[in-house]
Amino acid sequence: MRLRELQLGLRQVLRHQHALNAVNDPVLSEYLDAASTSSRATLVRQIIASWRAFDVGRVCPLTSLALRACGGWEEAIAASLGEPTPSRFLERIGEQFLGIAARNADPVVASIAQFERAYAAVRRGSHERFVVYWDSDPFLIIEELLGGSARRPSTPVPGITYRMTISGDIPNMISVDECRIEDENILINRSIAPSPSG
Amino acid sequence: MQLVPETPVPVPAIALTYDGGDPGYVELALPFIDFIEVTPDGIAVAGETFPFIPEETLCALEEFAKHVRIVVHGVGLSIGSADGWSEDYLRLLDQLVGRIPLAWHSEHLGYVNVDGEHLGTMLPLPRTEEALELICERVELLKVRYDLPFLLENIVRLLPEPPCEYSDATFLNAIVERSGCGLLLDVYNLECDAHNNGFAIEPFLNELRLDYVRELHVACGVEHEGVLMDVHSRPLRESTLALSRDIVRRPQSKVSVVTYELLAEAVPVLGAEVICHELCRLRSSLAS
Repeated sequence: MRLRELQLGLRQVLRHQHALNAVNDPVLSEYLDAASTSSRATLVRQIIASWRAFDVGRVCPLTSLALRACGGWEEAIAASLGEPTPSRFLERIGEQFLGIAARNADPVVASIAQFERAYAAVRRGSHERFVVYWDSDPFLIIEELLGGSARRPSTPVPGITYRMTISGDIPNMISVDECRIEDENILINRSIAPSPSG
Repeated sequence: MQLVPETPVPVPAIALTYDGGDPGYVELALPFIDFIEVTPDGIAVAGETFPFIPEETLCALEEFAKHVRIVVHGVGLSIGSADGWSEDYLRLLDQLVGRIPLAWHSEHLGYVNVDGEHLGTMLPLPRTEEALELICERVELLKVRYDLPFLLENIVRLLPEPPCEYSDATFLNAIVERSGCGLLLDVYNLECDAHNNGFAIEPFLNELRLDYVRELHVACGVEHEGVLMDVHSRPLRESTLALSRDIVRRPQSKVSVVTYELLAEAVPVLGAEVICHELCRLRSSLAS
């Protein structure tokens, strides 16, 4: 049993991706098959998932709130664990998680994740100008999430979209324009600002 | 490089871990400790290219070093990874060695990375000749890179055990005898393995080269679905204190520091008052 093959095999076991009898070495195969179906492997996977959920909740608070309100939180954690994790650092775990959530089928979750990712990049000093589209007022969505709302925070208006620009050269780093959609063109109606309490 | 002191220390010094977060509790604990054990990975930030320890954190450690001694205990070296250890971790250690006077550094006898991917947990090595050679080779590299004693720590085993060629004790003995590194014995981890896997602590201690054990870790975690978890989050159990006393008082023992381990996340939950109380309790227990 070679060390490298053992470690590769256990990585697959922990990612729940081990296929029984898939390893050439019979001793290693027997061990990995037993390990993968053991209750201890289930426990270790639960521990890994719990820590990932804890870390993501700390470093991606808005997206975590959105996933809990809109549904899909556990699936998102599982998806992030199914992809390679390059680092134990919260910043890298957060970037990976937001990258996945930014592609979420739910437009609210996707917008929140894109915003959170962009905002973090600008705060770190990025000179890039990020644009995120929302299906309803982003300030109201964020306010509702931070207020602890458990329901899906969005009431889209047909033909209206909100374009948020995140950049270091904008006052407070964020500007939002309410836009109407005409013949696939996005035309600005007005700029909006957060409510006094936001 | 002398890794084990010539004369045993009668009553070990007391250490507290610092692995990130607000160091305020460490300041409050200074009157109760002799050492601080710093986790490089815990106090570092990711950085754009590679992780680094912020200047303000290094300054805080320099300030602490005026009052207590500092040791380093890593989590991310992944000394047991077949495809290579973490260069990022060594860069962090370089930063600390270059700025802070350190008594020694230590790491876990295990691995957290496979093929450059972080597992999300730490796994122990199989006790095989191949693993033994790998570890000894890397200990030698550390000796060349740092003029500093190095200790390896036993970790818990949750997954089923693969086929092995050594017992737990003879594996550790072979490592220290071949490489010259010391041992950090995690007492609570021994209790976890005893509870979870039927590990026999007494025969292990009788067989182990206790003269290479320089430091003990004590901690307390939680039980989940009948399994004792090595989460460092609670006040110490009396059984852990008793086992620590037993080890320290053995004739071959050369333990010079006993460290109370706490996760950064547990600190605000326990609070500085409880932490300081546990440090006093630990010192009294070892001196009794």
